[in-house]
Amino acid sequence: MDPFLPLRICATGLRVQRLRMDLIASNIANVNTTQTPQGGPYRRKDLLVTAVPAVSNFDFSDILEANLNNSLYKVIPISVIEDQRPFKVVYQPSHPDADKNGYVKLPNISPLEEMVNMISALRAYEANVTVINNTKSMILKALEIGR
Amino acid sequence: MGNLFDPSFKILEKALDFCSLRHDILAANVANAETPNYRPFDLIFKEELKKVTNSKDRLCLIRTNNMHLATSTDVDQIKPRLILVRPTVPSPDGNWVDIDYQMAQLAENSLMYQVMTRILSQKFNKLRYAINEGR
Repeated sequence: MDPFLPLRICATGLRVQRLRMDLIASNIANVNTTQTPQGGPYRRKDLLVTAVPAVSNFDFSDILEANLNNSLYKVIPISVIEDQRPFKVVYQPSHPDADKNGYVKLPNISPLEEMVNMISALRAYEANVTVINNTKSMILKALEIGR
Repeated sequence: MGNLFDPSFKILEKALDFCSLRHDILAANVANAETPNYRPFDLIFKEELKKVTNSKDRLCLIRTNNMHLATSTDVDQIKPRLILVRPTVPSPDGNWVDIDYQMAQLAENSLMYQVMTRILSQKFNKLRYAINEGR
């Protein structure tokens, strides 16, 4: 049993939420971007994450502990995915990137959606911080046993 | 018995040294969280300690014969190892510091320090209790 494991697991959660926030910032900043190095308008970015076992080397001396270790997962980011939803098309003939019919392709970003995701990332980050703080309090409380 | 201060005192002392050293290194990592091309380091102690204590949670070697010399764990040979912390997410400026991970490690390290100082002071309290004849 490692009393510090929750700290390490939540640190991965913090990192993932921070990365999500980075991507949300990028999405909001590029809400009107029509040119990218890859060509075409900016595509909404999102983070793909996966759960991996938090404890790698299993010691099967204790069945309960083995079971517990098998069910503890940390989260790691795998890749940044691009949203494949269609671009917004707006009629704006004066725009330099307009096609010959006068339509401009704008990024497939909805500011509302990004705001909601931002609040969700912030709350998830706060939740991870709370777990870390509570774990710290638990360990410090354990130190007071028998004082 | 024999010795007033059993080997665990020495181990605790060593571990406290390690914790304060590790704190310096983690503090340097946090301070350089925005430094381009900075490589964070960490100290490893547990694995080295395990090698010496024979992985059986044992601090002293067992004497099976009275003719054996009394041996205590050679704590001095435990050397913390400096390792490079690899990034899980590549960063555009070549900085490998994961600030959240570093902060968690910092919290863990300071808690560990408190745990060990508490154990050490309890041990000293017991000695004082014996010296004062249980008063």
